[in-house]
Amino acid sequence: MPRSLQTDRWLFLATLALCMIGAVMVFSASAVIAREQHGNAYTFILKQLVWLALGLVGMFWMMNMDYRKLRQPTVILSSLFVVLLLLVSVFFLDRSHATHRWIRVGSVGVQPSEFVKLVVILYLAWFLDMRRRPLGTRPAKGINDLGSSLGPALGPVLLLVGLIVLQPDLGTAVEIFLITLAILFVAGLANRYILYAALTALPVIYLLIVRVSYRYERILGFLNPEADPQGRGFQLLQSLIAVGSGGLGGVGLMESRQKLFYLPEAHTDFIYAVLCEELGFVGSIVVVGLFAIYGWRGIRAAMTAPDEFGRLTALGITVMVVSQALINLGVVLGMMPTKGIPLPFVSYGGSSLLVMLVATGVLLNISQQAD
Amino acid sequence: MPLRSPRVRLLMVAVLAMLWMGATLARLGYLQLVCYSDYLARAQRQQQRIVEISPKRGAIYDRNMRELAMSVQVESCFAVPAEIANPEMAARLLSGVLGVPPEEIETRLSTSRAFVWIARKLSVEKAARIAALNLRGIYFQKENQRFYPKRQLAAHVLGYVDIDEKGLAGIEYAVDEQVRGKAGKMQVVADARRHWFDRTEKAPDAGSSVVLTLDEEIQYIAERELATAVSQTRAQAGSIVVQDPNSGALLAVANWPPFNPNAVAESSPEARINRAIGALYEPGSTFKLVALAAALEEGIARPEEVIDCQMGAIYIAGHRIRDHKAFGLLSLTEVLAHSSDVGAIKLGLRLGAPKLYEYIRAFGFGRPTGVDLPGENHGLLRRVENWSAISIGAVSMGQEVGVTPVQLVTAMSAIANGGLLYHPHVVRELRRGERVVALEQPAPQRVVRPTTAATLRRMLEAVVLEGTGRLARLEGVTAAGKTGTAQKIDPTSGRYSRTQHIASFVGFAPLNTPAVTVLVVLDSPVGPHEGGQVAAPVFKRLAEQVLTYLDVPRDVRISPKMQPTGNQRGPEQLEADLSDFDPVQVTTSAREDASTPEPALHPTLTASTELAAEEDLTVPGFRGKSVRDVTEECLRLGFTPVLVGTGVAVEQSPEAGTTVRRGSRLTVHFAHSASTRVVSGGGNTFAW
Repeated sequence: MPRSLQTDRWLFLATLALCMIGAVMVFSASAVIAREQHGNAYTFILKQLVWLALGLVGMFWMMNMDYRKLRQPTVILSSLFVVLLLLVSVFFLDRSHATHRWIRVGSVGVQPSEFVKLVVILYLAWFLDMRRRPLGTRPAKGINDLGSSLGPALGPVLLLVGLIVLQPDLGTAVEIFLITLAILFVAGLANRYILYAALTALPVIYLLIVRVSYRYERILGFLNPEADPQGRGFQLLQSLIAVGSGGLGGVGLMESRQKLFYLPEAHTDFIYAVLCEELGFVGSIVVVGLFAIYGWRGIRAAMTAPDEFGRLTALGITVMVVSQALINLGVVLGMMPTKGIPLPFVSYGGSSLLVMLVATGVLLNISQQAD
Repeated sequence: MPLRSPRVRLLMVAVLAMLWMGATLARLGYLQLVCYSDYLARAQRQQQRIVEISPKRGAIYDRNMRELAMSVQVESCFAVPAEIANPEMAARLLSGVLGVPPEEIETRLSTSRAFVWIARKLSVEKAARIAALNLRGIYFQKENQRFYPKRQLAAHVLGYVDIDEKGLAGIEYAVDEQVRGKAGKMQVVADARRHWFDRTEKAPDAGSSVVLTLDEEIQYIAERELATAVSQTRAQAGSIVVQDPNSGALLAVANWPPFNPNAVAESSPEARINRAIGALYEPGSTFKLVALAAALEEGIARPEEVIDCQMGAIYIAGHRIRDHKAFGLLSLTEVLAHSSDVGAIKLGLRLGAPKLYEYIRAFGFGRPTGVDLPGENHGLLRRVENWSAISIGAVSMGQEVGVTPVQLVTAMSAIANGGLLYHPHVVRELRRGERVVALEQPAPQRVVRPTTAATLRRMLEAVVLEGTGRLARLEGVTAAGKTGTAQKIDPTSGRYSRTQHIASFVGFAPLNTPAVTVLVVLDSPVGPHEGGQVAAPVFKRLAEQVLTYLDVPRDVRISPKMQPTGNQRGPEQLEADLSDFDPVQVTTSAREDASTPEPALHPTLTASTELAAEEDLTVPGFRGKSVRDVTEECLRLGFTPVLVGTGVAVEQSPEAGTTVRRGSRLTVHFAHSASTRVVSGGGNTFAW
């Protein structure tokens, strides 16, 4: 039997804290809208709690299951096949929010793209780990072989990303792209590929600057509230008002005014704005701090992982959670263009919460297995 | 290859994430700490509407705690536009009740604001009718409305308020801050769909109430008499001020034209002027008091001395100034009684411009009186350095100066009370709940000595008894005063108008224990226009009622029966009146109330008629002779005549046949025979 396993308390408690903050904030942000839409203020929070319970079960399950069991091709490939099937099937289902993101069963909706993220991480970790080992009698090709390593590694990923872009769900696509980049980088991507990536990124960066200046103008427009406060600037402006009016100490829990229909998606993508308003700067940095702890313990788990698969999986999961959190915060705080990305553990949304918790379970298990 | 080692690359990813987090934290700090107030203001602007609830304004009471102004609760109607499904219909229904065009209401109901007033301060009946409409989104808010139960009574003093109960004039303005109280707030919080979901009210604090020195009863008498006088004389405007000479407290301030503070919008701005403190007029002869008081106080004139009034003309700096009537030799008392301009000018010349100016200022002219009402006019008095050569003459007789009624009445009170110039005021105290804050008035300034004031009082009584103010004589109570008639300055030509006058009378009663000082000013009376003709009778009517109301005891033992024509007394009555007083005292101080003697006054009025044994001259009998004859004969024989009254001589002291020393004073009293009607329309005898 393996030695007694030590759970990473920091990571575990940070995750639980984020989930609890999330539950409170989802209730605060959704109560009014729930009462108006469903006649019951608890509609959303009850659903969220069910998902949370489910997610926690998943997390404990993964925590107590050796992550190496996930390294089997049957697990990786079948899950890859399942998410592919789900992603394709959403196009044949009813549209929701003008996109094909959901699979609905009764009142429960599932967002396949959330599961794709975790599957991509496992697939890449498995595949890249595999390519570092000698294949039968042949020596290991390493990961920088375009034909046998990079190509097969990126092929399925690009297929999944392409399907997600078609939904369209650009945010998740970007997210998967980031995760892939991080995993390849740590797996030992050759400098020349990094150079190629940088060169192809240049026009993208140029475009980003154009976008930034465009957004700069839009912020200038906010300073003159008459410009277009009800139009394209509305969501970001309302988010900034919510965050800014929180001040140091916030307006108090449940006291947010901005959630009262000023702020669209108050309980999902913009829940952090409500949190900033109600809990102020103090509450805001606590959340950032919890994600910082998550990142720190995640990277540490990657560093101490006993094998390449564990390292890359731990890194992928950490990047998934932290980058998604930072992108969400960036959107809420007006640092980057609006994208539909939920805040991990906090935003309302069952699929996301479930995936994040299961992933965290895996991460916790990897950290337990440290050398 | 260190750069490719997983450890280094993991650290690079971590550093990247840390930088990103740092940027996020910086952004958070910037938004929540640096820009906090901006965003808070922006948030409140879109989320909240704060509606002020006017606090209950303190009441205004007269000195007997009778309410002159109070606030009553009324309903105001407002709408939350987002809750109104059909603005057009709601507007039509509301329009039917309010009488406002429906389009106007609909415009208001269609605004994007969370809160709009529909109609403020509704009548009970209208509020009930709107409530009966039972419209969704229409609410009521209780507000206070100012109510002046006595309507126009003391309106100029009380002032008025705007729709938000902010004091705009008068006492309402002067002590607005204390009376207003603290506004309450109704905070309406609205969501983005302008649903109104929260309404918090902070109850307003009621303001202090004000207790005035005004007396409702006296105010009522003053206003009634002013209205009567204005209708009789067809004057354009007028003021009556009643003051307590012993404190400067104003007991009544009446102005014509009046206005109703409950309906300010219906009155003209002119009607809202508190003329008693805001309107300047040239005082004319009433101002002669100043020169006279100054001359007496400075010891350069005596009441009994004779002044040559030069038969009606005097030259100053080459300008001939005509008296309103040609007087010859008059005692100083007569100069005042008959209001001789030449006499007054001579006093002024005797004083010199700087002294005269000094006394004018001392009596409170040409400077604010400090009255606790807004809109006080400081008066018009050129600095003495800027006086022209003839100014001294003009100012002595009350020209070239502008005064307000309150300035004049306060100056007269100084003479009435023994020489103290008080600060006129109308606010006695402020009350906040149980706490009473009495308003301290600054200490009065001494203008003249009590003896000078006493002398002046007696001389002023002569005006009422024998002079131009005889119509002011009261039934049963001694009184003193001075008439004034000034030509108005035609604003177009800048010259004195021939047709428009300001008639005034300022006086007090009773003589030695004055209870009230009263000023009556009538602007541009038609027909008789002299102060003695039109203002003095108003004084009489008013003072008699006020003194009765104040329970001031009568101090004339024998009621004069000659009223209303009676500006004269029969010899027998005079006899009786004069029997018990020092004959040298020029005025009839015999009627002094025995209970209130002023012993301090007597030493200065030393008996100057020496009934000496030296048989120099025999006093002739003057009875039946005219003022002129008596004066001429006295001067021829070598007596110093002291002439009291006008008409024919009726009484003399010492009696005929007495032997006195050459140069001794002879006091001769004159009176009109019973058949002579004084102050007929032509004003043959008394020009002032």
